[in-house]
Amino acid sequence: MPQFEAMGAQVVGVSADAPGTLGAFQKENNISKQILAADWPRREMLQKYDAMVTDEKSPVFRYAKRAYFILDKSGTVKYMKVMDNPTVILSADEVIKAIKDSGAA
Amino acid sequence: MRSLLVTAVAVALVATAAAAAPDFAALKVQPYEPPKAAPEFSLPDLDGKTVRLADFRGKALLLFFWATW
Repeated sequence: MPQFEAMGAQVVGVSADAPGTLGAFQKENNISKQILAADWPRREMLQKYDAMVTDEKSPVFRYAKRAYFILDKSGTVKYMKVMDNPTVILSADEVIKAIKDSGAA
Repeated sequence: MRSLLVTAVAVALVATAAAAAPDFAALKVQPYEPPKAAPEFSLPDLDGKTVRLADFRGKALLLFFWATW
């Protein structure tokens, strides 16, 4: 996280889990970034960002997709990456490169 | 001569722009086009405090979505 702060960027995690679950997750994993709970109301926020699994047959139906949205200082979405497969993850270095190259920070 | 100079400057500018263009191919990160304002949201943090997108104006922001799949 210090690398993100050094370039003036903030990181916020959003999950469809309930606040209690997320609190335990944050504590267990010693996570310092801000976490928001998007489970209420009706996971509307995830839907607005098109970051919710809508396939009823999926075992993770209505959960959040793994997704990255890079917003600039004015709150404009500059870059995005929505994963089809949640087990694929970008490294911190890759995300930092994406933020730098996008000119958002 | 003048037009040659203008051409040279233009070529240099284009070259600079091309060099500065983000290379996201490897990361498969897509430009969001056309860039548009992120949808507003208002969500509780883990202390129960309401956080709005507007609270983050003035700084770049990475919104990272995940779940305990």
